Amino acid sequence: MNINPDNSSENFVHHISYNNRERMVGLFVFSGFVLFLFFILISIKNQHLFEKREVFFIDVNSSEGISPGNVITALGTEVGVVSNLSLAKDHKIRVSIEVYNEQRKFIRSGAKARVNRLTNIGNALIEIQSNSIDAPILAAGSVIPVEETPSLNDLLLGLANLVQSADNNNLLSKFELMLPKLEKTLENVHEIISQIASGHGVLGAAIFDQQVEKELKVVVKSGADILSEAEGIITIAKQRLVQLGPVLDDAKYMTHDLRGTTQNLPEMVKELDTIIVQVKTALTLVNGELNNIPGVALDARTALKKTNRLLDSVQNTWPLSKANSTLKAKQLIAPHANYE
Amino acid sequence: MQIMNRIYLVLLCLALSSCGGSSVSKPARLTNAEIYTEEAVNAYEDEEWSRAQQLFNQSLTIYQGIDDRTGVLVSHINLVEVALARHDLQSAQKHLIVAEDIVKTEGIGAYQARITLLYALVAIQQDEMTKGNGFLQQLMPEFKGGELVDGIDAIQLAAIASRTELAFTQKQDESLWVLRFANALKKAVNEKMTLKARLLRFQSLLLIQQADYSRAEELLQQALLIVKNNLSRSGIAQVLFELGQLKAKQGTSVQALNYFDRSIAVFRSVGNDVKVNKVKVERAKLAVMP
Repeated sequence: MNINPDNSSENFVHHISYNNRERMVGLFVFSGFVLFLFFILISIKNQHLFEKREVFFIDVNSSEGISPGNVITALGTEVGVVSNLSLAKDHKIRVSIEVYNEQRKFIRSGAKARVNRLTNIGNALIEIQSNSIDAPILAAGSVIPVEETPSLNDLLLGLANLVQSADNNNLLSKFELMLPKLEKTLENVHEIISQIASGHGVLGAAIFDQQVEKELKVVVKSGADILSEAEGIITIAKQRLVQLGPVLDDAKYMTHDLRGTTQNLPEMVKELDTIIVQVKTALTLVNGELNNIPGVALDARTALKKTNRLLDSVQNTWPLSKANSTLKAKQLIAPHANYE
Repeated sequence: MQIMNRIYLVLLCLALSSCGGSSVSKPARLTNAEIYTEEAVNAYEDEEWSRAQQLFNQSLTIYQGIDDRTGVLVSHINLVEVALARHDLQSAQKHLIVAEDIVKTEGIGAYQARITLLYALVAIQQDEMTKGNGFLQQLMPEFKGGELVDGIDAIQLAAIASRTELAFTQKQDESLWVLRFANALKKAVNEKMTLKARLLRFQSLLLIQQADYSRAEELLQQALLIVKNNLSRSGIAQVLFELGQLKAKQGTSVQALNYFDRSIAVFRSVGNDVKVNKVKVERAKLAVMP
């Protein structure tokens, strides 16, 4: 502020003038004040401080995680807050919800409130879901039906009760008593498999062991070869019978054609030789396969042993058995006294 | 708080049990070798010697193929046992030498006692009683008269049984060794029923020496019951043979012939021709008697 010393008789109030610095400071203070007001307005807007609200109600079984000020959402948007908690009928808690007037459009007739206590520990998330956005807006003061999830504490308490009741009823000891029976059942399964081994070992092995499957394929293939050869032999034999048929039917014809038949005899003998050779080959093949059968059977037993081992593994898996058996137990023959 | 602790305990048990599961599978060749060995041991217990030998040879080949030295050693020891059961001394010695070599080179001292026992059994089968006795002495536990000082293992028990047999063959200190065998059997952790039957047979031999035939027969019948329960065919045949010999001593030749015939049938089923001939000789002696 500058006062002119030359005009000292004049009223100094009417002669106030500001320099640039003072003007800048004033502008800065003023703009700060405007900004402050602007922020306050935004805050008021965000906190819906002076916005008109409509009250709705939800009845919950427990007020756990719900307290005044809890946010209410709909379609992911904040639509209101919990304003009050009071006792309702049927030992329920009536939760008053204040929904902002602007967001009221999100709450339609048929809407349901979902109280989720598992998302945030200590705070429940209340979400209002409307069935259809075309439905009319829900009237203020309505009670919204509610779905509640159990809290983490409820879940842990339930688990604890389960353990407690299992403990009280000696369920674990009963389960332990049941284990030998289960083991016995598995033993019976072993027995059944052994029976299959003795009755249908090759088939059983073919199921479990690829090596046996291969051998079985060889056997089947050879068997098919043998059968096709046998078919050939039978066809030839049939031809012979067909040839012999007229001879047997008509002795007269046979007598007349005896010369013709005897003429065919060397050829027939030759064919018979071929048949014998073929039969011999077939028998050799069969013999070869028979020689392979012990090996196949052994492999089948091996496959079944593996299955047995698998069952043992299942049997030894907790909680079916407490102890694991060792395969090495029978690897070495027990010491023997002098052989007589 | 207590409830929470229980929940944590249950969760901890679950975690530990899942850690216990073995997800690592054995190589197929090793599993096959073990299966062959197991089959072979079963065949040995069923006294199917040739099958046992064949299967042990297969497992030996697999173990050699993967250079599993312990597996090879165990297979050789098993093959020695089978060879001894078949009275095939040549094969027994061959496998025993290899087994001993592995024990020495690999430094697997745990098998040394078993090797010594097998050497003793080979020597006894070769009728080299002194040599066999020497090997058995290396395995003997400490005795105070007839009593054992400490506990014994299966190898020592087998050694005492063999030593008792040796005492009868050499006709020296039979009653002392029978007493020692009886005490050892009492102290054994796993009392083997076939060895108990053998003890009863030794005791019956002592009674026969004292001409107490009725008590001796009683013990032999007990032994027969045990070996039949265990389906030990060699044991059944041997007890029947001894009952036949006892009946022959008593002069009841019809019963003796019956026992001899039954013994021959069982020895034949095992394929022990040496024993069949031995019983036949005894039977023939009885048949020529007036």
